[in-house]
Amino acid sequence: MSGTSQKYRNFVAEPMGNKSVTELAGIGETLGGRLTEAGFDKAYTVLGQYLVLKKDEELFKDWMKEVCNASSKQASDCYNCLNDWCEEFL
Amino acid sequence: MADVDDFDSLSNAELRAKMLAQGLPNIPVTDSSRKVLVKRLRASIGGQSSPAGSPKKSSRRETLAPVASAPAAASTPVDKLDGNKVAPATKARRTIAATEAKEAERRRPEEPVVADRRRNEEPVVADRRRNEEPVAARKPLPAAAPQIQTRRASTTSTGSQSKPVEPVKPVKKPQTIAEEPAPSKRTDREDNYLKVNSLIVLESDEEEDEQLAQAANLVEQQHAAREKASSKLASSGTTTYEYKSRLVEHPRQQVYEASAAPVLPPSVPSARPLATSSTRSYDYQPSNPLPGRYSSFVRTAAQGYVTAEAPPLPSYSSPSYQRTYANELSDENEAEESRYESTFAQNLARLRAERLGDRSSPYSRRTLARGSASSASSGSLGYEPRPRRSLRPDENSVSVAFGRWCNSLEQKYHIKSKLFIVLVVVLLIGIYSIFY
Repeated sequence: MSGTSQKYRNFVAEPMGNKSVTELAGIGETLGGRLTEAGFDKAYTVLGQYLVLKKDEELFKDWMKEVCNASSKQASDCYNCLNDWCEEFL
Repeated sequence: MADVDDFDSLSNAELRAKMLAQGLPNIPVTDSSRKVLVKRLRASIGGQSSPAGSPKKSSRRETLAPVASAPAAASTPVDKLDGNKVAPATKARRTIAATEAKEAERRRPEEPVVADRRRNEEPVVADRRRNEEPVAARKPLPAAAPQIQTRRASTTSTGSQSKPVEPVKPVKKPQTIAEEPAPSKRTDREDNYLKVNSLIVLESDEEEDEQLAQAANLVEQQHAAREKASSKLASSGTTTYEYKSRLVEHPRQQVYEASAAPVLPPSVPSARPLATSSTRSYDYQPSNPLPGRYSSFVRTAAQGYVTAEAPPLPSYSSPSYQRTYANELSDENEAEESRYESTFAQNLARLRAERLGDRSSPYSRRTLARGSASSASSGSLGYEPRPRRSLRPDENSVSVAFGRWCNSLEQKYHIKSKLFIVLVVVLLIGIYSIFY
């Protein structure tokens, strides 16, 4: 595992508030657009889905791939980002 | 595939019920999570259908693929199986690379076994391993490792459901099953752990319970004997003499103790920690004078027995009344807490209890006098009225502590002689003042 990205560190460093979904690590403009179309426009909505899936890594990654055609790496980055954020702030 | 159609038509609640029946985690089924959960449910029910039909599983392969050479179509089901198994087992974060490394480690030792199995089931994968470079060989292995786990579980849980549906793909079935064994193991461990603890608790109570049962039996026997005016009472008189005399000396506690005696069993375990070897010797004599809540616990079946012996007493002597009274006095929580209190705190509690008891002393004395007199006259049964070891320390409370304190003062300052001199002087002064 390589070092964490700056995007990841920025997100995990503080409460997410009303951050856009694109602030999540692994989610750029493209995936952010798809997520927004699916109704997940805010980072906390994705967090909600992550929590609904009971923090299950496999389920969440599958969901990411299902909703926005994320790659495994993108899904994994997003999962790690949310998981670490929850450990810090939840 | 018929199963898939059924799942799509099911409501969220029905889907969740099916997932629970399948042994999957209790995850709420929502419109947003429905697809993912249906996939997992299919994967768990029929190992075959899920890998072939679901695009997600193929993506999992992709994650593995970057590390090693791209697997053939046949290898994909294996990867899916791995992904399913790994996810439920370990929830710790992993990056893709990390998971692969872990899997590789697991698989290496197990490779030969897995390889043999796969050769029978999936010749394509086996051939690939042999031909490919070592890096490529690792990839198929990770898939195999999860299979092994699943196979263990598969014998029990999945075999019944999956086999009748699709006997053709034996390998996949065990994989789906693998998810179930993990939670079951956890629960088993917990159960065992709980059982062990519970056993320990029960064991600790046994001795005291036996003693209590003995005491209760004796009391009942005595009561019956008195009513019948049988000759048994006369025979047992000798053993109890010392005890009775003590009772006479410290009549106050008798009331509490007697009442508490039948109730004692629940409170006994909690009181144990207090009882120490040093305290036991003091227990009997000093304990009697000390009333209060702790002292009420102290007197076990023995004292209760004595009070029960006294039939002449109108209201108090009846066993039912005593039990209820004891119940009121008993405070199990406090007794349990006392374990963790320091000796100072325990002594403080005793002192407080003494004061309370002293206030009510006149009343208790009467009752004690009756009980002791009645018991002496009636004679005691063979049972010796010893309090339980655990309860004894409580008895020591005031009188013992006071005695110790006096002894320590005596040793340090030789107070007795000085006190004697002071008394004499005071008497002389008093006499002098009276006559003059």
